[in-house]
Amino acid sequence: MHLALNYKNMKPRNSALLDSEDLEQKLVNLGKYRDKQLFLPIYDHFAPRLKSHLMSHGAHSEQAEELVQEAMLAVWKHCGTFNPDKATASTWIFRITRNLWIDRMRKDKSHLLSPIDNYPDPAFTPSLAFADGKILKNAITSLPQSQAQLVYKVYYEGKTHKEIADECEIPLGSVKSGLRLAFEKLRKYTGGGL
Amino acid sequence: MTPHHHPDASTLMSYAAGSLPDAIATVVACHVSVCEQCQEAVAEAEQLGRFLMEQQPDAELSKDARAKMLDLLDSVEPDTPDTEKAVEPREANGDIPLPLRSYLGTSFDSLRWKAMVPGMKQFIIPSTQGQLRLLRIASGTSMPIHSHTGSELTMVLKGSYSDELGRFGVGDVADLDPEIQHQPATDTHEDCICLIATDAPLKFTKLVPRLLQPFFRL
Repeated sequence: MHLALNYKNMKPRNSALLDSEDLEQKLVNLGKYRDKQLFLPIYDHFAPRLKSHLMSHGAHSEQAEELVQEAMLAVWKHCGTFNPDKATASTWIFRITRNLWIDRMRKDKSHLLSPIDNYPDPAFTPSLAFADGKILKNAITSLPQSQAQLVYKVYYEGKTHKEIADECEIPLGSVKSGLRLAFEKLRKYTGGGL
Repeated sequence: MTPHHHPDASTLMSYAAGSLPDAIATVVACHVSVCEQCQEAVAEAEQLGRFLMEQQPDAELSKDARAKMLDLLDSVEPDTPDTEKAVEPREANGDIPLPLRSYLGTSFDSLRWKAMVPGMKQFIIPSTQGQLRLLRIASGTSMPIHSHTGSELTMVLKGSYSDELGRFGVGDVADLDPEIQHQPATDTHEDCICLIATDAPLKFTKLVPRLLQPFFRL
């Protein structure tokens, strides 16, 4: 499915209520005041999206809810370390969920990854962090269909390179080069940094 | 440490999306923890993921999910920036990369290595999708020449090796496609320790190693 088509099926968002800056501020305040009343709007905003995100990656409903809970608990636990200069609220929460998901896939449940990446403080500011949704959306729709499809399968369906190669009956090398080209194009489109 | 060899952009992208087999994702996490350049690329690829996540239709949560969540909040002690640092040392001392440290400890020598063939020992790290292992190759040893049926991602954690593709030192990653055949050999007087993830078994091209394959779970 081409990504552009997919937008039509998406429900209108209630994000008018909570825009990005609003979320950042809420998260920073939550870190300061530790108030459940501050936590709830953040939970209400993210939990349903995270659940569908995890389910599109192959988690079943119950498992997805458990992970959402774990992710939002990590948000509560670690929000004191959230730095709005380094990431947007949604990127930060996306990353926490991603790390928990990778860990959940492990057989023995031993956690290798921390929900919070413990990298040394980076010397850069990821430019895309603040790229707005409209630019990103245009960038995605500018991709050739074959590349958009690869991006869709990786990001929405959570497919591995090999799964995509098998499913589309193309060599693994073509999956990788297609994704590489898509990434370069997205980076260019959004001005240097993706 | 500034690594010279990096994972392919497609690998970093899938890592950011959370779509790599867990064995391979772990190697990427280890490399990214020491590589600024790849931290930046992953941070960018994450923007795409976060944007697409935001576009997801809302899934319905079970009725008591919200109440359960609120109860859970009382069960954890929130971090402050200070406790975070105390719990997870950020300085990169020790040979074992940060993401693996809670699992492996701080020293390679305290692991229970299993001998495979003379000059090669391995330590298997359990994973669900793909295989993940540490390989310890004695100085002056070559691995049997092999190719792969899927992807192989190798990160050097200690020492160095050379193969047809170049020289790989600490922090470097070789991101190999199935069509590549290679024969890594250590190239210093020190053992080389690598973290290797494959999403399918290695395919040895000589007869004997292929017979050994099931034996060593390679």
